[in-house]
Amino acid sequence: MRETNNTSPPKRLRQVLEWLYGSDTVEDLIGDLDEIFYRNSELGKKTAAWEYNKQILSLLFSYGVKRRKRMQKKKYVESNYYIMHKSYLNLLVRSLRKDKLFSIIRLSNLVIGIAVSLLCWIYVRYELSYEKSFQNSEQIYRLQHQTPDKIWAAVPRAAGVYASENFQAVISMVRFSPASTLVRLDEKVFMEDEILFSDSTVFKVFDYEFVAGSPDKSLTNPHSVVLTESSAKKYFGNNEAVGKQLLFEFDRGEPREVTGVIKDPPSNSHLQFDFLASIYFENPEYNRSWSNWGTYAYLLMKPGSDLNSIGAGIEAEYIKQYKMEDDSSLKTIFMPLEKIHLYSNGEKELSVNANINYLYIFSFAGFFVLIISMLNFINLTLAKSSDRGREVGIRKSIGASKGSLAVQFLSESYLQVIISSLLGISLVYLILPFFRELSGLPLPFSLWQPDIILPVVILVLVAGLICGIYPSMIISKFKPAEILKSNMSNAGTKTGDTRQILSIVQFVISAILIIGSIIIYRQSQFIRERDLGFEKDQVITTRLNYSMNVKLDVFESELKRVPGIIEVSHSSSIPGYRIMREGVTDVSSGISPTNRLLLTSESFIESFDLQIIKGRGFTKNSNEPKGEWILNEEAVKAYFEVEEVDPIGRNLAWGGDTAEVVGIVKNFNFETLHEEVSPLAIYREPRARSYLAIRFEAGKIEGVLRNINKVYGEVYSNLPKAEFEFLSHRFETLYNAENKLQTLIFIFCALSLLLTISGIFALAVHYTKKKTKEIAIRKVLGSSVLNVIVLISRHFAIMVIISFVISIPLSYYLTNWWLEQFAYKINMGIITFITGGFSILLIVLLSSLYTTINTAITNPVKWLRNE
Amino acid sequence: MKGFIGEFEELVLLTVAVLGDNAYGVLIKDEIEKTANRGISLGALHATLGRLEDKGFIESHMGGATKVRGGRRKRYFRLTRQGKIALHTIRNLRDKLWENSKTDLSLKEI
Repeated sequence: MRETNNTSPPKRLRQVLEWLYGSDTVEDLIGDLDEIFYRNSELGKKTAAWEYNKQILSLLFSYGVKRRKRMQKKKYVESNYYIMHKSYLNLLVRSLRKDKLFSIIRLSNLVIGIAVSLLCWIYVRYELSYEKSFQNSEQIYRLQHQTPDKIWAAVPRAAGVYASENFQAVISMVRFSPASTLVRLDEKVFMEDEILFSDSTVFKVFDYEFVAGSPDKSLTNPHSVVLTESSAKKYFGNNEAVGKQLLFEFDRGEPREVTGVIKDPPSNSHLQFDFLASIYFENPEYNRSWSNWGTYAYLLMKPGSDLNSIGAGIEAEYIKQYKMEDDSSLKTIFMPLEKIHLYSNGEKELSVNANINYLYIFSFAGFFVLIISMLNFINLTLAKSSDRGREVGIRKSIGASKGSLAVQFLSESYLQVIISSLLGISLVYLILPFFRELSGLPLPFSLWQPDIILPVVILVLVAGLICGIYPSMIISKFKPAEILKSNMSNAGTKTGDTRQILSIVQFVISAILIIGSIIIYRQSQFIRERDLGFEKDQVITTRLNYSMNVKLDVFESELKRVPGIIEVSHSSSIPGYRIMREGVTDVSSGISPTNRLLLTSESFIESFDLQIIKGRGFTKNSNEPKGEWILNEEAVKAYFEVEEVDPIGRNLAWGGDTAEVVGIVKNFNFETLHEEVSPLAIYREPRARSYLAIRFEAGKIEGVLRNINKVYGEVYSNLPKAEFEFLSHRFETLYNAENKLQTLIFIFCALSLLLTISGIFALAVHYTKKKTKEIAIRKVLGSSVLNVIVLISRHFAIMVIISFVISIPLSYYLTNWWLEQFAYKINMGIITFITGGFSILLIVLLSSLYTTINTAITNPVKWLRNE
Repeated sequence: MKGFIGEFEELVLLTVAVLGDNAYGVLIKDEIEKTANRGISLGALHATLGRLEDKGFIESHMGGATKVRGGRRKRYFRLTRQGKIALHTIRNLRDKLWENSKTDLSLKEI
């Protein structure tokens, strides 16, 4: 047979024909074509194909085919199915247009709800995406340890090596330790804070992408460094960086060779750096030190490893190394890499992490807004449903089934949800740049990513169902006889109870958001205004580095001569930054409670305006070799409360030095208000030079700032500009998470109020319309305008009061949970709740007032004449 | 305009008549090419078939599935009564004109 001939007709053009007209429409034509083709194939394949395509071309625009398509469409347009759906659409459009205000409110409600929930998802999704871009992220753990009172993110230098050498389950291990220094390339000098010393195994654990160089050969040499793309650009512009040399000041003159350039670390990773520098190998003692506790070790583990037994092994080694008797004091923790960003909040964290609780609050608030918008939608649909009673009545009496009516109204709701989603998504595109700025996160967004489009589709499906199912059930149950008989349709009143319940739920949520906002606002104000016990507004600080320390004495004495500057000091740390924890021993009793230890120059107390409550400050002679101790009240409690002795004059020992306690300083909050003040010992040790603090007179900022920069330029003419920071600014950044939360909750609160207001407004319009006749008759019988207003307002006021009562315990519980995060917090106070309840009452009444008054003052004749 | 019929349309109409129950695309094309000795494209043929259908002179229906042509069905065309009347009309018109011709249409003399 010809059909079995292995040549087959060319497909390309035929597909065009089928695509244009539908393969069913042209079925016989293709059959004709094939027949001709196989007949022609005896003349040669090329001829047959040529002829075939020629015939298709003749058909492509032939009247005969175009006609067929037209006929088909006509057939559908004339079918009942089409007409029915077209009429559904018509009815929807008509009912939407009939009451434009209602429709706009109803739709914009959903638009806002959908846009907000989508934005929330974009944010939450980003926060959850941390570290996921690393290939082995699920198998990477950070080795941490726990002392009885704290979890520490860092471990001894040797711990990581010990783990990787003694346990098969560890595939690879890398250690990081952060550093900052001046980096030079010829004339270019920059202060670099984001340097990580790292083992050469770093690329086995983290798959950073190389732009130049290779992971195998990078960092194997002790004097090598890997740059990120941006730092390579900073130093070398568009030139090749690999093979060049950079001078790091901490290397004391020995240059480092650039052995690779990698892509910038992903923004959704807690590991942020500009340089990866190889660790020195000259000193193996140091490399395997058990006494250096400043290293972060990341382990790549085999899947399914028994972490507990490895942890126990490391703990056993701790006991051996530190000759401890008590084996429970040092515990090992394997922190999963993916959890670090949201869950880890240990001592010595490598970066400021997010708080999972804030993510919860945020998601809930976004979810609330979505719920309110949907409730509003349902409520407004129900309120409107009675207007369509007659339509339903007629439909039913003609023979529409309950099911087909339900389908009609359900699909109406779906259509509206889909339209609102499209608008909502456009709104997200519009708002996203502002949202990015507000949150300070890059927040990638592309609609077609599966984890965006899928939730959107699910949201549409669920929201359409939620918004449509109840109204469509109610409406399809209308009894046609009842509706058609009574002129005023009373069908809608049956939904009154449900509507009220929905409104109450909505009010409860709004009240919770209002009370929550008030409390968050008050707590933020409290944080900002609370006296921390030291001067934070008139202090400027800067980090010191090796180059600055060389001439620090000159710089300080020059600064002291600047008019307006009160005091200058340097120290190992300052309030607002981490202060080290050490055991300082009381010589006579032998106890050494762990406390915070500050090493400072002699003028530290004055430069932060701390208050000495007993004894004296440090000796003002910087040449005095013997140290002195000043304790805070908490430390005094920790050392001497049991003994009840006078702390002044007692001897404390630390690191081989023994010195006398000379004074007691009043407690001050050197950490954020999340933490209680802990015991603090301040030791006079002028050689500790990490931070410089300058206290100046209020109102002289400008001159002082100018002079500081001038003096700096004179003393350090060869160094890049230093960055001076106001201490108050530092504390602001410490409360970044709270500030962000506050802004976002405010926005959510405002949005939910806006939604509630619009919903109430529309409901009031509907409610009064229903009651016009009653009101008119009342007025005729002598009711005053005020009476009428009270009558209508009472309806809403009762709902608000019920919802307020419900919201009190809920919001108390939720806000209390948030406040738990702070060691120092406001009293929630009954006033807050009353304010919240009262404001929602006011908002509801005001938004219904316009309609109420309008109705109340209308001449009753106007309503009654219509009869 | 309905009722008027062009030369090619008449040719197609008559060919459909000639083929009887077996009038479908390829056969009609073949028949015309054979009897009238002119090449036509499927496009042109179907355009004309479509017009004839519009005018109500022919009707079409899909046949059963075939074993050849990759299982695709054929569309068969059939004359309607209207079509037959149209053919009669044009033939009558022609006969009348032949009869009335004052020129001798015989070719013998020349």
